[in-house]
Amino acid sequence: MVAKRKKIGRNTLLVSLAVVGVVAVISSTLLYSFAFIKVRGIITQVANTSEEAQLLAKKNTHIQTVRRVVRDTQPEREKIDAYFLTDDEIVSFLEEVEGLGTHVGVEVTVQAVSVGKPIDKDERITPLNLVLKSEGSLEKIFYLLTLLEDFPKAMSVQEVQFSQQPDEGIWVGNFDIVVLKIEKAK
Amino acid sequence: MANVLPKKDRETLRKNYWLRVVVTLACMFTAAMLIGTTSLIPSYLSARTDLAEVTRYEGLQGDAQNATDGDSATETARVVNAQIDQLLKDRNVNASGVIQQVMRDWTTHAEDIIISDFSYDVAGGDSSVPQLRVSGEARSRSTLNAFVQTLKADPVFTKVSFPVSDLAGSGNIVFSLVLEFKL
Repeated sequence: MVAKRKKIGRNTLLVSLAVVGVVAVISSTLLYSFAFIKVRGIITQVANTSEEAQLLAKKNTHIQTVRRVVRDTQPEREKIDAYFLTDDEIVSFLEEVEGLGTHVGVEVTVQAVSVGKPIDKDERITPLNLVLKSEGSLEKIFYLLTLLEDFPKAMSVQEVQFSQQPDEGIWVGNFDIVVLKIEKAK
Repeated sequence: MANVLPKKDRETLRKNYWLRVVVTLACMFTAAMLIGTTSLIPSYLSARTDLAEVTRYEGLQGDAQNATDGDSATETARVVNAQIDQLLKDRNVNASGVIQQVMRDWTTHAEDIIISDFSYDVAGGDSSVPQLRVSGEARSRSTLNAFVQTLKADPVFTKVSFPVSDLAGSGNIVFSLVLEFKL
């Protein structure tokens, strides 16, 4: 009887030990997994944040460089700007173009003026389309064309037509030109 | 040595033995997991510190970025680039040079060829290359042909074309040539 009770007691102890062991294994595994996932999550977060910060830092460095370049190239930019018309200069520019005709010895009339769509992303450079007409000898009209091409502005001749009037023998020159206009920075 | 234990007791003894082995292994495993977990704590704390530092650095860079958003330097740089592109693009357009070249070639044929129209188009009409259209009147087919040959021999012009229908008729021939050229 005593031996049997002793045996039961030993069995109970072993089973209890086994249950405690299983519980300990499961709980320690869960604890370790939780800690591992947590640490890994934070490390990933650190890596991502660090990458974003690096990108921002690079961008800021780039902007600093651009700002320095813009500051250092002020005189050169002013020279480039001089090739572009501003809103205030349009009237005087048209008068200058008509003045070229006087210089050449032909009459130059501005037939049409229109503003096109901006050609740059910031919408600061806009083409100004001009249609000019002049009459005279072929030499004079040709000379006028060379002067227009050499005009110190961002100007390009898109179409030119020289045609001789059948009856009078004089030549008529039609010029489609584009001058670039720039909006001043706000 | 003979095992004198009864068979049932031997079975129980074996079971108890394996149970002890399993419990011992479980204890060892638990101990290993606890040691691992403990060793992760410094890593966790260090990572937390790193995260706080990196977040602060990112915040600083973000503030600097926001401060430069209103800055016009980038826009100015973009506009200058666009200006330079336009100035370089326009440099290749040269209507007077091409018309002058036709006039030079014309001088040797001036007696037989009358040019009454020059039309220069930078967009080139139907094609995308700039073109010069020269129209006029020739005294005969052969004089027109000679003028065309002179233009074709000129290295400035890459293509000289005219409708064959212009060769019809006798006497004066009205022609219209289309010239393509090197920029």
